[in-house]
Amino acid sequence: MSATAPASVPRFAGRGWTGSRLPWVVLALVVGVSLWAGAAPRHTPSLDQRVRQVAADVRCPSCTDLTAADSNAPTAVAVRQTIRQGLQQGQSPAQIESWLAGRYGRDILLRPPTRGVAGLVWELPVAGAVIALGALAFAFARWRRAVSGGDPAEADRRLVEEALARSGGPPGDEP
Amino acid sequence: MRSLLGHGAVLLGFVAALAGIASTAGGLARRRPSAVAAGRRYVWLVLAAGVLATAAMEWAMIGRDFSLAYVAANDSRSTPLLFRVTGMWSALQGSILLWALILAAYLAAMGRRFRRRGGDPVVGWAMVAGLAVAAFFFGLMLGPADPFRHVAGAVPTDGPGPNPLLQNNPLVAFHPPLLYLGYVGFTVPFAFAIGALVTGRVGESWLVETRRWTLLAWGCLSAGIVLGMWWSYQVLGWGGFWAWDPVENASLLPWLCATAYLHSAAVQQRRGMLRVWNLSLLMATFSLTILGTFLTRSGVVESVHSFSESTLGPLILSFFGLVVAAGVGLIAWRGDLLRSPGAVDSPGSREGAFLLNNLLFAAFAFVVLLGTVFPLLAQAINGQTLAVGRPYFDRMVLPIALCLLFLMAVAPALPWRKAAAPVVRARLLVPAWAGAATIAGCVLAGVRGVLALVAFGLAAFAGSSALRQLATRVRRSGPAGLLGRSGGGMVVHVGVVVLAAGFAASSAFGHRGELRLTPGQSAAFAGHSLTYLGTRDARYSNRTAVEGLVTVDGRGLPARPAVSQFAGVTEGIGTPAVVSGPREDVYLTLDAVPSTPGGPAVIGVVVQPLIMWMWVGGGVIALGTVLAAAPDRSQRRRRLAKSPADEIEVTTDLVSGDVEVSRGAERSPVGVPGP
Repeated sequence: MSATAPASVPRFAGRGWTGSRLPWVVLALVVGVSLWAGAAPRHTPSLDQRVRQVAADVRCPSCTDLTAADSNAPTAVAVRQTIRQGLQQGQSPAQIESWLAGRYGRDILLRPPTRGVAGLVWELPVAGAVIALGALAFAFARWRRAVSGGDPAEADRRLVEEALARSGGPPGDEP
Repeated sequence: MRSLLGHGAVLLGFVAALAGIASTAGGLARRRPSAVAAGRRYVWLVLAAGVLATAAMEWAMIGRDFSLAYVAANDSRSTPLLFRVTGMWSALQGSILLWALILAAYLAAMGRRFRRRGGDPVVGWAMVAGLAVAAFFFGLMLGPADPFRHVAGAVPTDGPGPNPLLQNNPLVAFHPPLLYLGYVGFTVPFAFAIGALVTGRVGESWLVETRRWTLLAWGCLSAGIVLGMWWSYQVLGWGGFWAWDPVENASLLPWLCATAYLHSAAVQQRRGMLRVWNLSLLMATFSLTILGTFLTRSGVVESVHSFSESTLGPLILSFFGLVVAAGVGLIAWRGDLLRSPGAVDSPGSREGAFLLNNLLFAAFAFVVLLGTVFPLLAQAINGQTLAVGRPYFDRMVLPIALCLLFLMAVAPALPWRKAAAPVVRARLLVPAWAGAATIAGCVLAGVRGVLALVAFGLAAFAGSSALRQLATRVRRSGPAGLLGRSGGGMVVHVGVVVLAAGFAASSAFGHRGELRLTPGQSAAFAGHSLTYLGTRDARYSNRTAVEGLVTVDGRGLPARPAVSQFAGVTEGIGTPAVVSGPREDVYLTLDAVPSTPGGPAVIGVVVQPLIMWMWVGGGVIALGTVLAAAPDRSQRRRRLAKSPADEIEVTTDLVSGDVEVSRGAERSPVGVPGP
């Protein structure tokens, strides 16, 4: 590592603990193992938790902008009760949601559908991000070509010399 | 009398703004600096009009002058003094008045600050733009948003008072004014951007001159948003603080654009690049504050904040369209001048990181905007009614937020121009290990869930990266190292990290439930023991309440979650009680009062870890903004510079040994378009 380090690298960076790649390998290992160990939930979700998960995607019918999981309004309690019954009968969350949509209208579901016109709400940001990243990569490529036109260090040196000549001496000479 | 005074003041403000525009623009057209400078005097008239109109409104609110329709709708004989004063901004017309007052104050401050450059065309055109915005808001009050309209028919003897949610907590005196100070404050950099574009002096000078104005607006908006979260947490009774409500989103949108701008402005100031982008961000920030006003005040979207509806919609939307058209048109017109000579050498440099930061903030803003207006779009396209809510925003925003945290950790360690990998590695090693140790420590302590662990790890990484930067600066130059853009900026980063950690912990590890308890009965919930002691009736000047008495962990005075009854409102309004602590909050609501005396009550409980740190983080952000506004050493050094040689700034990073040379040519001389 230190053999290939460029000359501008500070002294300490080339050797010892801070300069080597080893601490980063160990770090990646620590993070990987920790996340792997921390991923497993300690318990399988209880019925209450599953009810809450489904209810988090459902609007409380009588509130302005709360989910049925967050509100304690009677209508939200009723929705949670419906979800609980559905889960107890072995229905899937999707089945329960489509039942709720039939009962209260499509806008009871806070997660917009992924198909049709409504799917645009999911697709547009992703498409936008891809285009923006592409544009950024293109810009970097163009800048690189622009920069590689001359030796930047040489240009800098010339600029400093010119300016020094104009001022009649190095800046340190001034009072 | 008050109505007459108010109407007169509003008319004065409108006419003075128009006269100021005419005088300044006339002077600019005829190239007469003295006439341009004279136009500035009209801002004092506009300010006087704003103050007079506000005084008339407050006089009417405090004096309960029910002959005014606004007072009759938002005041009552039982409303306490504080909420009569704050009642001015509890509904549409009064909020517009507050907006006009704050704008007038900003314009007057602007006129005073640039009084020695009154004849300067950039300042002149900025004044014209600012006064035009003022004329619009005063004009609204002349027509559809008249705060001083007389009631139709007989004068009532009492009114319903403000919306119960707006007379339940003293934060109503701080959150809306701070938020407005933020929104309206962006008018100043916006006006200067217009001035720069119209005159063609699109260099860096307007950007440098408005830096502190932008910081002030940004700081107020940040503090206003965090205070709003805190307020909604304490008042709304569901234990949360952010519901992705359209109005909340409307405040977040300009904040996101302004935050992106603060970062990319640093690139322009340093390297003279990104001119079009910076102008566009400022235009976006300002126009989004107008769009936010439209979304909140027109009633097109359903929101918990829609305290009133009106016919203002089309007018505000037209103004929004005008602002966007003017911004885009001017930028297109000046396209040639805006081309900048510099280049970003490498993605792995400070400016490369800022570009990525801007991309992420733009994506964030796009997602929030799209999610907010999509129900309207879908309805317009194929008549589909659908809701876009929390699950959508959480899913889309979370990855962006995590990327931003990562960038926050890495970017401060990257030097400008080009980074040598070993240098960056050396700078990042300790912060990265702080992040890794946090993850490992959390797992050992029993925390589960990949997303939350990643969030904590990245927060620790970003936080220690900022602290490392601050420590380096303080070692080098003492407490002064905390000042200026880099010092204050890193303090802001620490605040954001603290806020993010509190946010991640409270949203991932909260517990909520309901307990049905008879007086004297105790129950355990999420590691706390709650004892219900019974209820008591309480009377306040503006409400009566049934308060449940609950002790938490057997300590201290009992908490008193309540159901309040306000005069003129049939529905009971829940008033939660919060027992706050650095480890976690216990949040109590009285979900059902006992039906018989001594019967059981239903107590709603929400336990959320670390949520208090969100408010602390907000305070740190505000502090950091103040520090960032202070001049730092390098700026002072630059000001001392007299000879052109000093235009070349040689900075040596003592830690890494980096030598950076900023060339005068790239920081193009102030006020002159680049080559």
